[in-house]
Amino acid sequence: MTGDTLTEKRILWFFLGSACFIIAQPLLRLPILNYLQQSTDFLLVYTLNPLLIGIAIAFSAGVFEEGFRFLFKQFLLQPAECVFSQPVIFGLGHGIAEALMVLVPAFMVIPVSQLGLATLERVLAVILHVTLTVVVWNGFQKKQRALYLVLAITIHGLVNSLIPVLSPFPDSVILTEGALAAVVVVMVGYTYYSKKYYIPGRNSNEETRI
Amino acid sequence: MKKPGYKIAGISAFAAVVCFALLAGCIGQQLSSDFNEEDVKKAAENVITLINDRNSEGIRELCTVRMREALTDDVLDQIYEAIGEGGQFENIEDMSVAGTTDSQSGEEFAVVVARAKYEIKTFTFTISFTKQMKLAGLYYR
Repeated sequence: MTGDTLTEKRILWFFLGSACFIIAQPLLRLPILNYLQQSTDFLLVYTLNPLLIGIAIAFSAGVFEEGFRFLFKQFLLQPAECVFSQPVIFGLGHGIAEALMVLVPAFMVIPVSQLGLATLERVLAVILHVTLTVVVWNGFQKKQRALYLVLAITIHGLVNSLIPVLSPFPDSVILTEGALAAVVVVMVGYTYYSKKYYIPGRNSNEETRI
Repeated sequence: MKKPGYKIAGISAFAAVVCFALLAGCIGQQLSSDFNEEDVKKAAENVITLINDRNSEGIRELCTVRMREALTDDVLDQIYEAIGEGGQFENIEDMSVAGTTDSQSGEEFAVVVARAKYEIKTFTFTISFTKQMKLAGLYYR
């Protein structure tokens, strides 16, 4: 495989990551949530159980995003064994697509200088998406796909649950961002540790088994 | 034999369905037998009618003492102004009722969520009543 072909593969992984987010969130989960919010039954249950439903909504993001990451790897990114750069680039595509969807509308109405914390939060979220992609991909490398899928959904759900759980506290934004940063540090450490599960790919020629 | 990928995809889809089934309201609380659901719905409709008519005295007559203190003229004027931005009231599209208990006082309430369609936009009212059918809570968005 030539260097150009390898570059094309990497671009493809990036755009598959972006497509994965777009299908999982704007095309599926968000319309379902919008539909539910039209239902007075749902709003009533949410009013009476805000924490429980907030956590369920948080976990639904994990189910959709990690589920689709899994499906993309299962059906579009074969073989299962791959180089470490594949989940990293796919996760970058996923996270950057989400960051653009969140930040672009905000940049249109609020000056960039006032979006410092939001930008930091998105950077942390992009890193988290990369590490969660590595978790899902680890299942394929270690032949324990369901276990690692459930693990990724759980981590994603717990991180998203920080918002409904911490929002009643004073300084909840700082608390939430601090907890997110702590999780990201741990996940980056785990991701670095996971490199050993992948096909070595120190240079272009060694990545011919992609 | 099925590929493991299909099995896991099936598990994921099932998890998603369970997640949204929970969200859809399978965990709502029953209305206490001290309340009559139809009476609660009629009382909520009445509250929305009084808001549309800007009838402050009528609203206050329905209120608990605490709510009466909270619903000052200024507060009610803000509500009327916001609801007025929706244009002419058309109808109540949907209404759901459930019960809840205040964790501190142990008092039971009936809670109504009503979607009210106006000429320009739709408002969602959350209205709660005591067992004496006194208005104990009023939110809109």
